[in-house]
Amino acid sequence: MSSRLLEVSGLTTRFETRSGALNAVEDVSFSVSEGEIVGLVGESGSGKSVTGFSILGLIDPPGRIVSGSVKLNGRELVGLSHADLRSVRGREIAMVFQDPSATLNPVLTIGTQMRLAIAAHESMSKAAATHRCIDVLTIVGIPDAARRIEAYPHQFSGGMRQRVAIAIALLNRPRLIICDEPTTALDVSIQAQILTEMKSLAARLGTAMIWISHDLATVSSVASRLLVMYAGRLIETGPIAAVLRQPHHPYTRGLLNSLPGFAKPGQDLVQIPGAMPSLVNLPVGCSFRPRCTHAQDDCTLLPAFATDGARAFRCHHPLDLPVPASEARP
Amino acid sequence: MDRSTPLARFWDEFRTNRVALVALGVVLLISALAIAAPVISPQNPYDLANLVLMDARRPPGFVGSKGFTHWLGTDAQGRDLLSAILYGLRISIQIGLIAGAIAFALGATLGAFAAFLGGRVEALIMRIIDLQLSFPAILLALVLAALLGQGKWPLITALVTAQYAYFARTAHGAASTERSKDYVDAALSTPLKASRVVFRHILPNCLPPLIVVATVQVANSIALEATLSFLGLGLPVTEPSLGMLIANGFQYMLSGRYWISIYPGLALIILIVAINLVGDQVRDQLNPRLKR
Amino acid sequence: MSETRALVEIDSVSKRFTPSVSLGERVAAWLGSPIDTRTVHAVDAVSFDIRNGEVLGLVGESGCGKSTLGRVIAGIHPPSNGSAMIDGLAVMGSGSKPLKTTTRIQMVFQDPFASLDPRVRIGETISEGPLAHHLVSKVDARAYVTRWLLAVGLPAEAADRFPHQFSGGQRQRVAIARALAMQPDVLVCDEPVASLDVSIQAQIINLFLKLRRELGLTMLFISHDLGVVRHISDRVAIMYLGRIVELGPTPAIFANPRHPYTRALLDSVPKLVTGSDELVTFKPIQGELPSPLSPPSGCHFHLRCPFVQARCSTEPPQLDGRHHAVSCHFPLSDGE
Repeated sequence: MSSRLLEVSGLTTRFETRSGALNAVEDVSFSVSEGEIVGLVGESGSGKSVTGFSILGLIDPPGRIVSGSVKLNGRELVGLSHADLRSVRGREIAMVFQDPSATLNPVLTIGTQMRLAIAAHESMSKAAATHRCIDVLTIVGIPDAARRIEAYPHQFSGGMRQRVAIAIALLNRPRLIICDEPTTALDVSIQAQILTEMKSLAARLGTAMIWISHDLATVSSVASRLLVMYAGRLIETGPIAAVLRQPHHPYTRGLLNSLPGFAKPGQDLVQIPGAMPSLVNLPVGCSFRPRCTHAQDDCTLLPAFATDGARAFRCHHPLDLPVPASEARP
Repeated sequence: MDRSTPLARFWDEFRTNRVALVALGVVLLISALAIAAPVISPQNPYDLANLVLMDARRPPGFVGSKGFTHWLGTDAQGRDLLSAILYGLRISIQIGLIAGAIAFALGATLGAFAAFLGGRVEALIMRIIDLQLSFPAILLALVLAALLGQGKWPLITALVTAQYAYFARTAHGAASTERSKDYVDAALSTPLKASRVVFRHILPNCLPPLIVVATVQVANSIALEATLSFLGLGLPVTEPSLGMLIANGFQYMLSGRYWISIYPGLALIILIVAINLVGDQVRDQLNPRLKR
Repeated sequence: MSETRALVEIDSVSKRFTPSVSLGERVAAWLGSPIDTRTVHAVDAVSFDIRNGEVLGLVGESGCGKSTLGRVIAGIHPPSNGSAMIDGLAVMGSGSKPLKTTTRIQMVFQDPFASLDPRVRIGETISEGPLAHHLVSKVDARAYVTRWLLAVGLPAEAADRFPHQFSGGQRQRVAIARALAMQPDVLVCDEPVASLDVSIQAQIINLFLKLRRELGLTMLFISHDLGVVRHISDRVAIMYLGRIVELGPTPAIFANPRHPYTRALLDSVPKLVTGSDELVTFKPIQGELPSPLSPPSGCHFHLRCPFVQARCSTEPPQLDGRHHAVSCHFPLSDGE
């Protein structure tokens, strides 16, 4: 295995709310190697986005990182000053969001914004900066980049805007890009283009990625390793093929089974009963216990995060049955 | 889940602003005094039999022939000024509230229906309102008050006409936003009657900005009423409101009998400033753009 | 599939949106400033039937007009041309300001946070339509609400609460109960699971399946999610830039798509395959979705189509075929 680029251990991010303190992220540990794409999957409220923000140090009050460490190439990021974090963001770690309009300033041309993003970390001539911008825009598949660079964000379609946002993330050649649902707002045909593009980018440039999404299929199409989160905790990790072939945690299995492709058309889908618990009032022990069909008495004790070779899971009664082979259905 | 009601949360936030809290206290105190005026004021200033001309234009602190102290002095008719101010506040607040409420109901309905119906109806209603908003409200109220004559209801009519447009404009803006939301489409696909969609669904959701306008407009209609009365176009002389008290005392200002105008004026200013301070805080709390 | 009678008939329905030009803009135009008065053909002469008791899936990408078509059928927008009819009666009355005249078509919206009035209690939300149309008396309203709450899997106490006290999935159940309480024959569902979490999506899809079995509902199920549509629909219509490009039985559409766009759309969705080494398969469609303001001439798909020929750019194809209709000059044959 290549060297560890990012090492997250015991990360806990807490928010003080009116109804009480809640741990949006609790005791999350994982690592990302150079050039690796890691998929982070969970439903809303699982803490997957907060994990991404915590790595970047983008947690504002009432939230704060209460414990744990985030190491990039061995350098501790938790507790760095705002100025130091700013120099890390953009240059070493970049982020791509679901909504590209959140990244792009509507009143500046793409070129101006990109040159500003370069200037934040490096001083170079305008011509050289423009040259790099055009290079990066071409890499993400924007045709006629030399001309389009003087266009405003609204002159691009949704898919093209997301490409521009990705291009900005690539500008300073970061080692790691955190992608938070980057294709969720896009149409399927455009999503497929972006997925293909990102996969080849990671392969060509050796950029590592954390791909955050609620969609197992999308994540599986780009990532090589899967992290599954539930109610703030990691509940299962491992090589993506192995996890999907034989999920150990009942929640992972439930997510997979509830996809329409795993039931005969017109028949009931295998559903996970109930809903995600409130983070303020988590069940004692395993958070998934009230919804779990395999729950037993000892599940009221929080299971440890057990490691088994390349895989790890947080369950007292892991499943062993492989998922039956399915046909290629959406 | 957060169990506190929206109102409780609103109050928790309101409490954090000391100035607004004091202002709210002042508004409540003045309102209570005005409501209780017949009980607490030493004299009934409307009862001509009670007035003693001998006691006219006496300075504050003077003990009158009826045996009680005129703490704020007396006016040219021998009215106890404290009593006159309390009764005047009563009338001012009453007229301000009634005019504000009617203007609210009329303007909000008109604005919301215009936004709901759209097309030419909307264009026509909103152009009329724009046209009206381009005149100063005082001018319109003056003309109407002069045409309709003296009395409580002519005065209220003039105030409503001068003010409904502000409510209509605000309601139209808010309702246009609500109109495009799915719950309105859901009501249309049921289908529900237009009146039910507007009154049960759209208008309640437009309340926050309307409440802000309402607080400001109640203060404005009190001021406007005072202005009209000051100019002699308001209530009859037998029921002096604050504006008329100020007007009556005006001629004595230069002769040193400042109290006849100054005290009613102070009461008016304190009331209006307090309402506006409360209104400012309400506006800040209801404006999502100022929310962090 | 047995031929059942058409319950809903969509007869060359078009919906155009023309930006309204204000007085100021007219003055600006008169002074020589360019203003945008281009018309959007959101729905362009669409015709199809929904048979009694079937679920028709309507699939397309954003901006293809599927939502607008759904709203025309549900009687929220009047069509610019053509008509939507249920049992031979128009959904919308006629006149300059047409109003919906039937309660037999009801709608479920995508976002249950926007489709429920935040200031109205759940009980009133569900009962106000039936009360207005005398489907239930005031005395029985409470029991009626309870019945529909239970039918969608919510407790009877939910009637006294406000929407913000519920999760997204529960709100969508409320929205479904509101539509069902009108005792409709047809339910138009506009992306009803798109804004829900994966595990909740399965619950709501199962609810639709159950309601369909128990109530014999006819549904128009609008979605961009091919997996969901494949699972729930008897027939599927594929829409591209305001037109239906393919319409047929679900198995046929998914196994043998005949329109190049349908084929490309099916290929572009990441599909999970378990029990194989290639976990996910997908193939992107080339090019961007054209703007509906200036759709390409002829066949709207010809700019992105891998099988394009000269005729495609000039002559718009017609939707043709009885069981499996396709709108293409050179449709793909089976097994191609």
